[in-house]
Amino acid sequence: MKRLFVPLVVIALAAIAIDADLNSYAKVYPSEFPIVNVPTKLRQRNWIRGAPNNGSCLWASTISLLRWQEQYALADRIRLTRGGGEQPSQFSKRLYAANMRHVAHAKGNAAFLEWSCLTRHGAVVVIKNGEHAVTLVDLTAEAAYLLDNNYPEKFREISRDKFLREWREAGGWAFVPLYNPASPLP
Amino acid sequence: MKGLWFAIALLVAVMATGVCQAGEDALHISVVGDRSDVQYRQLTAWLRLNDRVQKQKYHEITTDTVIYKERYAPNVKGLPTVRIQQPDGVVIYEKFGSQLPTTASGLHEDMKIAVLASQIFPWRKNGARPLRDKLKQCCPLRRQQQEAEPEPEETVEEESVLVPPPLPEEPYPGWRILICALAALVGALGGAIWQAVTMYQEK
Repeated sequence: MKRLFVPLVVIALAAIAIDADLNSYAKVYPSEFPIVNVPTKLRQRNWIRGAPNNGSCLWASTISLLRWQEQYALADRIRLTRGGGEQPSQFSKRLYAANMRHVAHAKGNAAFLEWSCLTRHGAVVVIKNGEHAVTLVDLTAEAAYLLDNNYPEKFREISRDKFLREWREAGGWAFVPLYNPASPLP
Repeated sequence: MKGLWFAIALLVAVMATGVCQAGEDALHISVVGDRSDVQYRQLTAWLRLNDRVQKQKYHEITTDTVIYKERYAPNVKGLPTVRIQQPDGVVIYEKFGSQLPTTASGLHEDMKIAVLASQIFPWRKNGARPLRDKLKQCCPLRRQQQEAEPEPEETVEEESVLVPPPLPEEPYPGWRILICALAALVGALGGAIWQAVTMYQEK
């Protein structure tokens, strides 16, 4: 009987190896695109507060990400109580005051943005010489995908180099709310 | 008998490769259900108290939310559902309604076994549906919906309509198969040599 053990183990190992081989073809899981695939109804459109040119792009981008991260109450509260243009430094103070879990970055390092996308959080980034803020929803080796709160119907594609250059020229500031992002599609 | 232990050690080593690989990122644990459903409330109460669950990315999804209608309604088979996904979206545990254990300890044990199984046999997933995945690649419905949306009135400078990048090629898990094959080969050789030595000594 003892002599049967070794052949049995060998057969079991071979079976596992064959199983792995057969199932390797089933291992093609296309990742969701873009990674931060905010549903259309959760995207916040920019709004005017006070003066006609006083948009709320920074808040709108933040609200879209908060809804993506299932923080509906916080997002609604911000929508009702905040608005208007904000400088990133002032904005950071308000976030700390609101006790919002977040991480901010102001050194223009692309690795920070890549991390934010890989973890499915997304990032609020400043572009156009600091005059506008949008939501970064994906960053690949070739392109960046943005959710512009002025045109929230569609995601926008822009070349990675152009986006990073513009972002750095605007100060290289980015902000990431740190709650649980929506789970990936199965 | 030594041949057996040798083979078992190799098998454990193969399993360990899967365990190490799976520990890279947190799992997504989702509970999906109707807010007024007693079973759903019971499940969320259990899972909120579980420290190990709370260390993962834990989601409570109710049917009255947009996120449910957009991302869960098309793929949930029944309510309430408990689903565990790996960071890449692969489902490693999914049960709904009467399939779910009726006690907190039963549920935790069930989930624990599923997670462990997925780590030991990383190619064994509930989500392994090759035909569906191939169809997804051929005709991604969501992308078609995106394309069907109306164009905005103004276009932003140097921006273009979303064109998904080519899907990255799935790395062929050759190394894993190689390890299994090598383990089988070494186990067989070790066993054969041991048997030969034993037989020679008996003679």
